[in-house]
Amino acid sequence: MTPYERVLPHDTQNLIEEFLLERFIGTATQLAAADVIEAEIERIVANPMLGASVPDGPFEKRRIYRFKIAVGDQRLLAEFAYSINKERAVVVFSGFQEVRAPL
Amino acid sequence: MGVTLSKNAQLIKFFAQLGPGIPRTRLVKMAYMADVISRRYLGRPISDLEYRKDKFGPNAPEIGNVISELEAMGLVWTKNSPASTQEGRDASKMLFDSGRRVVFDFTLGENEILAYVAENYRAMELTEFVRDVVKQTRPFKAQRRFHEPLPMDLEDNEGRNLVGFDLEAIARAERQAEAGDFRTARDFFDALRTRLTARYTESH
Repeated sequence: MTPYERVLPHDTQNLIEEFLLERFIGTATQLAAADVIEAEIERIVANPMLGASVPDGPFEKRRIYRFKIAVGDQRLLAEFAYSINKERAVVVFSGFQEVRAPL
Repeated sequence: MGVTLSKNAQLIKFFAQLGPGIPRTRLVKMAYMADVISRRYLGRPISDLEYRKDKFGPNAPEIGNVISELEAMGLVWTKNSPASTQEGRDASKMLFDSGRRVVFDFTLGENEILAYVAENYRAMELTEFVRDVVKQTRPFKAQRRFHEPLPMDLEDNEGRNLVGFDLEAIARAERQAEAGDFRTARDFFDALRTRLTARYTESH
């Protein structure tokens, strides 16, 4: 287990909750999708280098991680933007969004 | 100091503060890169300087007026000195900060961009900076005629589209985290599951 704290700022919490409520119907499906998102957070924290950084600009120090959410018949793509603070042992998940692109 | 400066003046004052004296050529190129990167990630420039093609890279003729304005207010000072540094002939026009403070009203996203430009380009060897960074930007390469305006809108949202995230929103969320307005993932998901389950129980 890595020592990184998983930090979700207020806005990111809202983005995740809105996404779950708007894109998944039914409590069981929403709970399952929440499990997937939380598991992906654990995957990032276990290896923060998984996300890609975009060179030549302000996203050089941030990373973007794309993942699949497969729940029931639904297959969606989503992304986290995050930054790693090694001194404070924190990963801050500063962005979350659905990716509207073909799987 | 309670004076509200124009964005152009704020940009020049910010770069002057990087100290210990910034040559005119580097100043113009750093302002240019700040506007280019701002267009890429925010879809708009920080300043409204107009850049034109020059042999030594982009130039913004009105920067001279902006510096004069700042000088008149006692916020910066200039010095003509012999070329003796790695900045070459341009070191003859140096801009220094007076140390007097102003209120900046850069947005969080603009702040991120200015920090990036300062960190990456302040100490980069000038020839390399101009040749490998500034002259490689799309507006500079697209304009073939000297002294003509650069088509800066070629950069609009290029980075934003690549990244997919809004820099202002990301910076705001990071600020929330720094201010303690956050939950750990475990706390958030535990509370979320409780809310979702309670909603289900109430409806049945």
